[in-house]
Parts: sequence; structure tokens; C-alpha cells
Amino acid sequence: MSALLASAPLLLRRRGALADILPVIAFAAATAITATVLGGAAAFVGRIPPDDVAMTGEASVMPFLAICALIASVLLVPSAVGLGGSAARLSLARREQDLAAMRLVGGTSGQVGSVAVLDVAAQSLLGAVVGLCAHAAVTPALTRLDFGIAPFTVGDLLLPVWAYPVLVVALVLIAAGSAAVSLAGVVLSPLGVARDSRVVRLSVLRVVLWAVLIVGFVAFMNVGGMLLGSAGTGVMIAIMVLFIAAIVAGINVVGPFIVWITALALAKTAPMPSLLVGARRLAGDPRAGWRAVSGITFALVIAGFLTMMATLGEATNPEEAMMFTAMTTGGLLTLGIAAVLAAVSTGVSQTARVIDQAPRLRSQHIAGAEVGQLHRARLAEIAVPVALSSLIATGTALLVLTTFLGGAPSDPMMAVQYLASVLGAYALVIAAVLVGSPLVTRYATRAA
Amino acid sequence: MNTSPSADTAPFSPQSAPLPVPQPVPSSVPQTHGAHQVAQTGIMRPSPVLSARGLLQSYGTGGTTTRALDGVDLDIARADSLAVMGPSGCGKTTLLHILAGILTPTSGTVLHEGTDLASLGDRRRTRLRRSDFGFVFQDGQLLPELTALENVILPRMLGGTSRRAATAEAASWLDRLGLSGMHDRRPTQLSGGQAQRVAIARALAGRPSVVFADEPTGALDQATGQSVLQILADSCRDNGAALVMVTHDAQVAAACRRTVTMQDGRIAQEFVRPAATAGTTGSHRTDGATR
Repeated sequence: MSALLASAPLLLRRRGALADILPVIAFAAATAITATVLGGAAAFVGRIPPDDVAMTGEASVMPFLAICALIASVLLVPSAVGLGGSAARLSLARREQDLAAMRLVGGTSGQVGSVAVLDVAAQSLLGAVVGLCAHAAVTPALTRLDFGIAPFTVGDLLLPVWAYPVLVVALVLIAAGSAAVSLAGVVLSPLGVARDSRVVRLSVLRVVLWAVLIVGFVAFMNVGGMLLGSAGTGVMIAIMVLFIAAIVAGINVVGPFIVWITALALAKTAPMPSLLVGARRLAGDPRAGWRAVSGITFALVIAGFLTMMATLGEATNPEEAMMFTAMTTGGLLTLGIAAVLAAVSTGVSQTARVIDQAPRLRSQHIAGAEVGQLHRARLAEIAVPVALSSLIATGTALLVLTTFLGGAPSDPMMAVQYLASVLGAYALVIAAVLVGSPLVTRYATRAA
Repeated sequence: MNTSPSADTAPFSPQSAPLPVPQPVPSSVPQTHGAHQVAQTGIMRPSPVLSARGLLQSYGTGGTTTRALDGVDLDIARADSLAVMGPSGCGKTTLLHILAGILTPTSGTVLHEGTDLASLGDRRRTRLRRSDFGFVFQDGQLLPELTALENVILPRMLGGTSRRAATAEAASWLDRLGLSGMHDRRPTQLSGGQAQRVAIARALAGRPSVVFADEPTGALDQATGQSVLQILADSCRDNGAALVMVTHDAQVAAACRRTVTMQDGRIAQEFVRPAATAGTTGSHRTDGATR
């Protein structure tokens, strides 16, 4: 094992600056976002007054704001950690030839797998350190945000010192775990790495579970108040928040299924070659297709909630004004972080996909596919999930809105505001595709 | 995945006997020069579908210049088959890429049915490759997400053929190559030989004038390779397509009517097989002139 580890740096050769840096960028973003969000939530929780303090002014709104901060954390942190997991799979997928070479020189499957996981862990450690630096750099700027309450200090927004090594170790372990799980789906042989080629099948149970959650939420919002009475307001809020969190989290469960079904139908009927290729790639790996846009979906849901907050009306007392300001700033901050998550996950996954497909792009171009047609196939591959994600996100936001407002929203400004968010999401996707376009041209037309 | 030779070879039986050894061409027969002229036999040669003159390809600059090709002349007629042999680094793959319009030579010309490839822009050359050329690579280079049928219809759809029409053509080609019942299988669900037959169907579905093959049997076992080779050569000949095949294997080259051996970027030797021994089926007809 020691000999194998000694030779690993030679065998796990670097694949070029861009290919190596992508997983590190993703790990860095995941770490920075997780640390910043947890630090912010801890700052709000730290402001909750003790029981013996009079609940007036800021003290009266802090418990509610702390709950909001925790909800934002519950929504953001899993997505950020998920980005780390995606980065681990990404890093591993690019090492297939190296892993096969290690098997060829005598490494056992277990030894090679261990080295591969260690390689991912090293990349995630580097990303985590970069991410913590980014977190430290951005925190002073966050103290200038106006939450309508006494401003936070840098000390408030930073985590306790002991929490940082814990966070880094946790993220590295999650990355290593994701890599190990990914390795379970491949066969490492000396002649190459054979991916598990079972045909993808996703269960309709995903949709059923999500539908049950939605029906439960609507039912609870209609009869929960009557069942719990005025004494149960706190419990009702907690249950409502849990329902919303579960529905939002459930989008990532139902999304791949909807992408899969749609892609299968499109592949069978696609009249255009770009749509045929894009749909087949999606049908082959709907989870990866969804992951590329899950950040955007999440950002759109947050945008929907923000739109809802805009309907809360004017504050009638200083506490309400404080609360509205905090919720608007917090909502915008959450949307901003979600947008960063979406940009990083979409950009990284799209660029990585182009790098991985380089030989195929070359052979397709040789066989007569124009570069423009290769670009259109990539666009089709992401356009389908992004269109579905905007439909799902709009549906989820509308559901929450109509349930809260007791009817469909009538303010046209809400529609305009939300439409702007959808257009922003599309712009993000197009930008992510454009980032990889020069690479497509380079790989397709470079000399053999 | 089925990797048994029987699955790959049905309904084409592999040739168990070694392929015929090529015979040197008398130096008086101008196989690679002056294809438009009347040969010594007195037979008027048809115009070559592909004609290369004075091909020169250099890499690097100054003292580090490497000549991959150093003055290659070549004519290839419709339905003819040409194997390009030689050791690694002799320039055979560079020659194939230049003939196919993938690379532009440092100097020299390649005419496809009279059109100089260098006069076409990248887009028109790409369209030419799509409409007039077919390609069979060593590992098939099939798109793994697409079914066998979809891999064959894709180039046709890229060329503007409707999906319905392309599907009918592709299904017919797959059936002809012994792949009926496998239309909806993915490349990972096919054996190496079956996947290579899908690649051949893809190359021929557009009825190209030239099929370029780069070590088409390099990843296959001998029996499967022989079968695939026979299918490739027969299909090209039956459809009037010229076959240009790069290989380092003399057995593989023997499937072609002509063989040129390259050394240091030049054609060092050329062989033409007599009618009775050319190809694997013995059905090739040759009249001694470039066809």
C-alpha cells in the first residue's frame, strides 16, 4: 500500500489547469457558503434575549427572525453541501484512465479506490481552505447589511474558532463519502473503468411523496388553525415551516423523475438532431441533468417567497418595520447566496461536461457535425431541465402564495417581479453554457 | 454484454483462412500517378473520386520541423479499396486526415470529385464530410447515450434528412448488417463487433463516396475483426464507395484491393491484388487499372 501511495502522485497526473481547478472551485464555494450561512444563523440565534428580559423593541422580534435565519440555513446548507458532493463525483469521473492505469501496474481494486478517495479528499481540503479564506474576506462586508436591528459585528458573524476545523473535517468527510459511494457504481479493471451500465429507472414514488406533501400542506393551512386554536400559533408556524422546507427539499427528489420522463418522450420524437442528443443524454443521467439546474430552481423558489414578502404591506409599528426590513434584507441575501450557488454549480458542471466530452466532440465534428450544432446540442441538454425547473419552482411558489393569501395573487407587479427572476435564471444558464462554448470550439476543431 | 465471436459474426462467417498476401505492382503500372491518363493496358480509367498531389505536411518551425508527409501522390476511384500501412509515426493517419479534409496540408492539393478541399472553408468541409464521407474509427466512437438506430440516424438528421426518412434508411442498414432486433440497444449493450457494425452502418447510411477507416478492427479479436472487415469492404464496394483504411496489420490490409506502404512520410511501396485474391470474398473484379 505504501508503494502504491508513493506512486499515486505520478499516476494521478494533473489533467490541465481548468480540469483540476473546477472541483476546487466547487468545494471552495460550498465551504464559504456553509460557513457564512451558519455564522449568520448563529448571529441571529445569539441575539435571542434571555427569558428575564422584557420582550419589547428588538427583543420582541428576535425569536421570529432567528427562526427565519434557521429556515434559510436549512434551505441553503444542504444545497451547498450537495455542491461539495457533486464536486467529489466530478473529480472522480475525470480520473478514470488514471485509476485503470493504477490497476494495470498492480494495484488492487481496494487500493486504487482508496487512493482515488484520498485524491478527492485532498482536493476538498484545498477547496475548504480557500472557502474559509473567502468566508473571512466577505464577512466584513456583511456587517454593513441593514436588518433593521442593531448591526452585527464581524465577531457576531464569524463562527467560534473550534467550529472551523470541525466544518472542514465534516466537508472533507462528506466529499470522501460521496467519492466512495460513486466508486460503488463503477468497476475498476486494468483495462479501463467500466461504469455501471444498468438502464436508468426512477420510481414514480418520488412524485407520489411530493404530491402527498403538497396535499398535506394545503390541508394543514386550511384546517390547522381550527384544530390547534389560538394557543397553537407557535406550533402551527413550526409545522408550516417544516412543510415548506420539506416541499422545497422534495423538489430535488421529484425533479430528476420529471426530467427523466420528459427526456424519454422527447428522445423518441425529437425532430432535430440537437434535441435528440440532448434528450438522450438527459435520459441517460437525469440526476446529473437536474443537478445542473437544481441551484437555479432553488433560487427561483426563494425569489417566489421574496415576491410574497413584498405583499405583506406597510408596517404599523416599529417592531413590524424592524421585522419587514430584516425579512427583506435576509430574503435578498438568501436569494443572492442561492444565485451564487446556482452560478457555481451550473458553470462548473457545464464546463466539466465539455472537458469530459472532448474526444467525442472531436469525433462528431470529424464525422460532419458543425460546431454550431454541437453548441445547440449542449443548449438543448440544459434547456429542457431549466424549463422544467422554472415550471416546478413557479408552481411551488404559486402554491405557497395562494395558500398564504387565500387565493391567487392579483398584484401584477408580483408577476413582473417573479418574471424578472425567471429571466435572470435563464440568463445564468445561458452564461454557464457560454462559459464552456470556447472550449467546445477548441476541442472540436483542434488538430488530431 | 455479448462478446462471443458467434454473436459478432452472424450472419457473416469469419474467414478462418489467412488473407491473401499482396503482390508487388510492376513499376510500369502507374497506380498512384496520372489517373486521368490512359494506362498501358489501354483501358480508359474513370475519374478518381479522391486525388492527392504533392502532399506535404510539416509540424514545428525552424530546426524542430518534422515532416509527417513528404510529397504524397494518390488517386482513389469509386468502389476501390486502399489500405495505408506503415510503422507508427510514418504519416499514415496524417494522410487519412488530410484526404478527409480534417487537416489542411502545408502544401499540395486534395481534389474530391474535382473540388480542391483547401478552397472550402471549415463549414463547407464539415458539410462535405457529413454528406460525402463516412468514418469508422478504431473504437466505433458511437454516442453511448443513443441507441444503435439513433447513432445511425444522427448524421443524416444533421444533414437535414427528416427523422422518419432517416429512421427507415438506418433500420434497413442495421438489418442488412445483421443487427435486426438490436435497434434499441445502447452501445454498452452491444459486443465490440456489433458496435463496430453499427459504426459501419452509420458511415454508409448517407451513401458516401469515400469511407475512411482508422484501424477499424484494432479493438476486436481476430475472428470478429475479420468479419467486420469483410462487412466493411463488401458494403463499400457494393455501394460504390471507395474505402481508405489505415492499418498496421498486413492481414487487415489484405481486405483491400490496393495497399500502399508508407515510410518517413512517403509512399515507399504499392501492391495491387489480382482479382481472385483481392478482398475476403474473392468477388472483387479488377482490370489492372485504378477503378
